[in-house]
Amino acid sequence: MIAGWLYPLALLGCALGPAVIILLLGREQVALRNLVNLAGAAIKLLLVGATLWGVYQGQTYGLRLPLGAGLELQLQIDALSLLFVTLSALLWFVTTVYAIAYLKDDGEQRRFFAFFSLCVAATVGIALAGNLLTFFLFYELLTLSTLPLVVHKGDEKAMAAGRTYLRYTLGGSALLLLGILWLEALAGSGSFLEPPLGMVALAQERPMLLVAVFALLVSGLAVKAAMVPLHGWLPAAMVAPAPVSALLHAVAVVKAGAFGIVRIVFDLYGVALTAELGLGLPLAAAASVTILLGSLIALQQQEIKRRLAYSTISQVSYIMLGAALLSPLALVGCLVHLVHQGIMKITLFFCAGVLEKSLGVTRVEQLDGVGPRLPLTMLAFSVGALGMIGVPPIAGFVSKWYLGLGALQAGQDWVILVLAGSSLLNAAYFLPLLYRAWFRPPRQSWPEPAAGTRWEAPVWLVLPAIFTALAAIGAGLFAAFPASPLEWARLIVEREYGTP
Amino acid sequence: MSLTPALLLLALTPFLPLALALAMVPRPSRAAVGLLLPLAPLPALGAALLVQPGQEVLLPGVLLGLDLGLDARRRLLLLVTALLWLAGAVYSRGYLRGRAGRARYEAFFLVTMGGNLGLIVALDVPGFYLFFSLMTLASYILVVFEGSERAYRAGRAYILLSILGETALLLGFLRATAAAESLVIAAIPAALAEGEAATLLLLFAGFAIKAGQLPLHVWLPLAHSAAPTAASAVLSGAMIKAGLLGMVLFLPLGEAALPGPGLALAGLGLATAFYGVFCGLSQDDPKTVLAYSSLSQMGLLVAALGVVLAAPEAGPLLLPAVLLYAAHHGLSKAALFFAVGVVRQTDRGRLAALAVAVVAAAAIAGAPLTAGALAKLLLKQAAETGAEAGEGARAGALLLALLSASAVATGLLMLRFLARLGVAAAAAAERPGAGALLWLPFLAIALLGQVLPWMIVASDRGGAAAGWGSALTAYGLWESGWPPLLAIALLLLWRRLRRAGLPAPPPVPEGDWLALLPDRRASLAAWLGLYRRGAFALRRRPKLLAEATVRATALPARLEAGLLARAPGALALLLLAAALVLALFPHDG
Repeated sequence: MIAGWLYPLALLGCALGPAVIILLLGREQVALRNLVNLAGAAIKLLLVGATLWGVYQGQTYGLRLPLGAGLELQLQIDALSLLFVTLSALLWFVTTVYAIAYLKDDGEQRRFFAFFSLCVAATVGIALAGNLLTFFLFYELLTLSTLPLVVHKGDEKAMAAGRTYLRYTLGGSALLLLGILWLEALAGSGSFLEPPLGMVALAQERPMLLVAVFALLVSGLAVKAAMVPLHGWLPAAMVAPAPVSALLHAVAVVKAGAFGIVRIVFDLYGVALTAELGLGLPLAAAASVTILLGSLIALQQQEIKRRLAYSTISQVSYIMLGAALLSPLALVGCLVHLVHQGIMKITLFFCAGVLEKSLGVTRVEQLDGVGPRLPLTMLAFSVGALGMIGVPPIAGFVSKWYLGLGALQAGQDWVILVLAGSSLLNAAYFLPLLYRAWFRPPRQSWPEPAAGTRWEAPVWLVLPAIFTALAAIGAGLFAAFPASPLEWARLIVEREYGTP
Repeated sequence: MSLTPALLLLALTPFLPLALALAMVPRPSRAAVGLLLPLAPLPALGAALLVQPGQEVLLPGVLLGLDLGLDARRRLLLLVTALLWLAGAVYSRGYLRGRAGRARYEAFFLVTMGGNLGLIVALDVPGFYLFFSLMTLASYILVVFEGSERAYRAGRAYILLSILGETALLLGFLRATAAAESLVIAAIPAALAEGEAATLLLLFAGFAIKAGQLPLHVWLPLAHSAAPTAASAVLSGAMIKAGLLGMVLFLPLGEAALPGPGLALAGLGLATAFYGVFCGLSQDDPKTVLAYSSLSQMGLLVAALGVVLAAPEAGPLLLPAVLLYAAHHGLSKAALFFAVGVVRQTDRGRLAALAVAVVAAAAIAGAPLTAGALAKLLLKQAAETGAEAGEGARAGALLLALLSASAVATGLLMLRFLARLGVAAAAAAERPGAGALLWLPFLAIALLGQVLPWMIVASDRGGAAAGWGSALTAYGLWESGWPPLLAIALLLLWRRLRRAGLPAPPPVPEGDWLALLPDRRASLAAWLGLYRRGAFALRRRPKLLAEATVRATALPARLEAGLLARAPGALALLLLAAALVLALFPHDG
């Protein structure tokens, strides 16, 4: 039996270790580097499995590291953090496989994979953070470690995107930091485990202060979560290589913001206090605006990855919407969508990468007739797209179902109209892609697949997409199975807030 | 729960077709699985015969907990639907022999079948929605299978309206489950008995689109005629009934008296019944005539459901009558679609095929001694009880008043169909010949269409059987006899008038009001903008209109640009303000 405090450290180490080792390795030691990378990801998966079992049994694992001056680093594994860690561990493994194949001929692989691992380590840190300070440290590590990935191509467009990214995220971080400091000054350290002592008293005496702190914290996090109008960096960051976009959109940056907001609503303020202060409705309104506007803009995009980026903006706000509604079923929907959106969106980006890499297809009109040439890829893409629309039995349906029921449970009937509008818009910008790919004749003859292979495209680009597509179907079709994301989300809500 | 053979059949009802569809993904197995196509609906057939009401299969891990079972209402529909899919599968094997893309057709035929059979046996709301969506989406591939411009146009109308319908249903299901606090379909009608207007409207709209009711019926005549004939038969015979079943299962029929919504439903259904005939009469393609007839007949049944909604005491008689009518219509209508394919392809026995078609058409028109006469008579007798109800009598009275008139109209439409079928039979250019795979399902379904309704009524020991003998009395013969005779007389009169120089009325285009919209190869996005072009006031100033359209579609992007231009500034300002507040605020400690 390993001591409880080792688990969080080991989880972090699985990603931090490879980052350091890769930097120490030579540029040319490709095989060793890939081995270290995959080994780290695989060990982490095993660890996550063990921890999942433990937490399911009611264990908690934690680690406290005093920094002096009353500051404390705190890592904590609870059901909620494990939801995010599991998602990131699974998708990290798949994306590593994909990235190795994608960047086969790239000259800067060492830098890429080092920061890639660092980025994942930061994500794990964010998930495990037990208080606001720890959260902030890893949040900033994420900001910085992602930058080299965004500007990876190094051309003028990539550098400009990097500048935009920094301008937005640093601004957001500054807001977040201000909020954290202010809260610390008002109510004591912001822990996710037990609400700061001063908060209850403060809520009685000067509730407006807590509202202001909430606004600061959430608007700081909303930058990474790409809520309108703070979303400008995300479409620009599309210049990054496909595996980066995939990870960015599914687990790393965007989700870090969303997860942060979930933490603040669930654990820092708590559902009761958030409701008491009347903070739910404004957040729900902001999320709804983002959902609809993101989809409307996605309609206009003719570049596939840009369309997907705006789709992310829209879809991630479902998470905030669920958190803002505060009813148990909506919270389940919020948590389960954190996972479902990640699986579905990473599938779409994997496929976009295959399209670009193997056929040079980057724009919507080039998709004509691509289905018969890349049947498996486009099958996976179709699963992702239909899932986003909310077609059962794909995972997106389960999210939508719970969010809708949660909205009705919270008495916010208008929200289901937002969900319906978003479904229609999703159909409007995804179905034409499928129609082109499957039913239109191709505009030109496609380049043949490489000789000597039975696969339509490099196999390690196609298999990850198929795997995540199957996961998206599995998560929806077997949503009520004990080990499903839905059941885990229900477990979280059950444990913390009584029955869902 | 022990797994008896009956329960195994129940579980296989949706999942055997779906599993076979999955088995068609690997290229090498496609041809072999194609041969198994007719096996796919057999579990459903067995389940319809063997499963007793109250027996259920629970699959707790699937979706949100899948629950399959049968009751009296579902059982009859499952029986007929399984028979139609069986016949359709055999017919498809013959109809598409040697055609390119056959595997794709067969795979999606199987998915559609799994959806259609599954939604009948699903007892929980998410399960119903799952199968309903599978059926709706997969049948798109059947509709556009021919690959012609006409097929894709039909496909666009189909998918657009279907997605609207699915969305309405999802909203309705969410509201209904929230109101019932249960995922079980059986709990929903009672929860909606208070007449939750928005929920009822959403559910009705979603199912009405599938059942081809006004004004969102336009996809149906396009899609049912553009699909390959083998698919048209199941589209018009079986799948259209999914909309009806949805209304039967979800609307608070027999739970409460809702005279207002009931009258509205009856009015809308009857309007569809007559409007469908009106549009169908000028169609040239016999399949389009049949499609309009289908939505017209569904209108009649929707009107009958309206009567039950208004007067719950009519339910015990009227609901079985509606389901029997649906069974009769499904079988006979499928037989007529099969006939179109047979007469176009066969080189021998065309007259025999036409004769069988005449019998099936006579049944749809309700001619004496046919199964249609029985179904119509039962419907009429049941409607009479609705018309005698106190508060909700108006809906019943409306249906009763127009039922015979609708029979005359249907008679006219069937005459039109037979005329166009004769033309099609004579005109077919190449005749590959219709083998047993076409003849067999055609004759079997036509025969079942005549026999099965009588058998069902005869075997029913309940109240509905009381009326079946009356179909054979002088009263019954007269009741069912005069409308077709009047239709023939009207046709002769019309011919005489035409010969005397009466100008022909302008034909109604296929898909009626849809043809008023400019057709464009357009995405849904462009579609949403189209309504502006229909506005007459703006049509005179096309330039202004074009500019307005461009401006409107660019609006989100411009809004975003404006936001983005200001966002960093706003962020900085917010930061500054926050810092100021923080600095100025006095803190203790």
